[in-house]
Amino acid sequence: MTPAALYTLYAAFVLGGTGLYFLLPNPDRGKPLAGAALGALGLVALVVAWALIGDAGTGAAFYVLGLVALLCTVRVITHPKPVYSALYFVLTVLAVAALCVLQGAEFLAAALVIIYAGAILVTYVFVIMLAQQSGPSSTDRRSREPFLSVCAGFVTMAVITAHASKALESSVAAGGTPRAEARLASAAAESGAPAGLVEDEAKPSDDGAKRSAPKPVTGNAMALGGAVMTRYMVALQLSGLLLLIAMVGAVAMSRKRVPQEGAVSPRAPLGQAGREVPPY
Amino acid sequence: MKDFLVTQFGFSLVLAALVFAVIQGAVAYCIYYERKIAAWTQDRYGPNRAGPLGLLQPIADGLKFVFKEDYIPGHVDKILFVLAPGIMFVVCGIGFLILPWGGQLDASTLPWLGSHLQPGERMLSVQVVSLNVGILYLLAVMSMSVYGVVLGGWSSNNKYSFYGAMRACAQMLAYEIPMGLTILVVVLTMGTLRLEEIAAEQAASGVWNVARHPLAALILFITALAEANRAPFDLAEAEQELVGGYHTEYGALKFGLFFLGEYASMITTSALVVVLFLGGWHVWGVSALTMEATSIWAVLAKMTVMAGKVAILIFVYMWVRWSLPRFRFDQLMRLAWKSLVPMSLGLFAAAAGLLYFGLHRSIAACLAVNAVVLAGAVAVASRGRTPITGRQANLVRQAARNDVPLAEVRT
Repeated sequence: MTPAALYTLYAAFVLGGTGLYFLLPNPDRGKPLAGAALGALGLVALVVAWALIGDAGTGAAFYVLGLVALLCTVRVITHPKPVYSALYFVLTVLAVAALCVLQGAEFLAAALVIIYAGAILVTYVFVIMLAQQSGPSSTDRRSREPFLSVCAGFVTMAVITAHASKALESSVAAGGTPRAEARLASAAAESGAPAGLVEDEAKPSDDGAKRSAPKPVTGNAMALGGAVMTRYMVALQLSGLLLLIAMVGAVAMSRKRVPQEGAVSPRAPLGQAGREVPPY
Repeated sequence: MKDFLVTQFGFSLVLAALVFAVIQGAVAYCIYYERKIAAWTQDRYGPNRAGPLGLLQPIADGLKFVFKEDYIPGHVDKILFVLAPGIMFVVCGIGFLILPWGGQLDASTLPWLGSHLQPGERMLSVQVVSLNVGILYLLAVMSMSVYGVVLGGWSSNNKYSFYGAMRACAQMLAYEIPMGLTILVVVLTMGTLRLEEIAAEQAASGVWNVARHPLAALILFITALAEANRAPFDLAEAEQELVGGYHTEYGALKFGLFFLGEYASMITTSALVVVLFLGGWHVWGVSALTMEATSIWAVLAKMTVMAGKVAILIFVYMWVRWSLPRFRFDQLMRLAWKSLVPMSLGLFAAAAGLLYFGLHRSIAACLAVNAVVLAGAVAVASRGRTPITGRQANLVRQAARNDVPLAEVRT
């Protein structure tokens, strides 16, 4: 990566961070228009940096989806209404899933949509709707530590980018292209699966006849399954165990002792609505 | 242009437009079908005024939706109120993309378009997209359909709509689990996530999956009813309790879009059941309905067979709707979490075990496993006492208070 690209990238982060600081909901200090302008400048810088790095994007679809994901993420934390925040989060997840498809990771994309957009965020929306029937609370209109959180977020992002760019350079130096093919091939090599198992479907082919030929039977879903069940077996089992523990904990916490049928329960004092059930 | 249309991409575009149009038309006639079936169940005539046999009724209904005033009440969240029917319509309208409608097509048998091709030179898949995560795409799309209902109910700013949305949300989350697990049973048996391969393999062996896993097929059908919000699972729009449920505040074309979404998802889910368990486009003993028959006429025959099977399943959907009363909400939840989830988990574990011993294609072994799971479920159900809920509990209390036998209590 050239120094010019690197500094443009950092400039993009600084601009974006400052813009986000002004965009965060705050009745006293918030300047949404200035924030939006700075954020837009940051996005332009990001696109320029990306173009300077070269070969990292995969065409117009990548840019559009990336922009959608970024803008929606900003709206998640800046929108004053929690329901809209959750919905922007759904859009972010969908855009990221589409980016995964562009990189040839269909399984990851489907899992993201099913688990995040289809289950977790539905539950969020559910809870937000139940909790805020009398309109949003005033805490949603004021972010607590905008400066520190923006700093923390963008420093983390800069570190990740620096690390990722190093990985990018080493993979380019090794003679491979930092594209889906290389990643799939290395995934196959790592998982010890036979190379024939992983066939890249994202490979562009201009030949119409070639495109209309029957597609390969296997894909990276199978390679991923192989990797999870062989190399990452312990991690899989441990995460399963963790989920089981969480589930048992949730059951234990939510379980209440319900009085026996016909048992006389002490009457609640006047003015106290509902019945109190001691925890199990 | 001519050559573009016989590439897979061009063909997929045409097929997508065609199937989408057919599904939209079918939705209109599904409403006619439903009203005729309701009439048949209740021993009356049904729609018979517009056109011969009332066949123009769907067009009249559609025109009515279009020409009504597109009214937005003043107290709603306008953006989401307009967005919700759109989400419902889009999400329910894109599920069919992954379904295999007719195996492989030899492009050279297409009249005019394929005249310059040699036989067998170019095979097209009669499916809009072929993903290697095929079935997961459908699950992902179906899991998104809850947003239309929930946002519609919430943005209406009406407590009945909101109750409907909450019920729909809890119901869809609960029934997605057994649905996913029973689909996994088929995936384990067939060893692939691609729907076209699942259909092709059932056609090649002549054994439909319903012969191996009838219990899984039944569970999938029940959860498909619940996911499409159809009776007896239509608590989200229980008229007696919630006025109209989540679409109380909707009218005109926006209400029509909710309706379209519901019927389109009925078609998609029944097509899914057909592909997974009922052999897709295959029927025994017809040479046009095999994997080897790839001419355009064979493909049309396959699509007709597939549509026929879907129509039969939709008939069962409607038959169920007009025969069974609606569940109460606690019964609904108990059915999902206490019976369907354990049973489908058992089936899933059993299918994995069969796979381990290499018996996953053996009909006898699969049937035995299904019988064991069913017997276990029946045993557990008969050991447990009938849960006392709601009105029954009051009856028991009254009986105890007045010291009379339960049967003699008058409410």
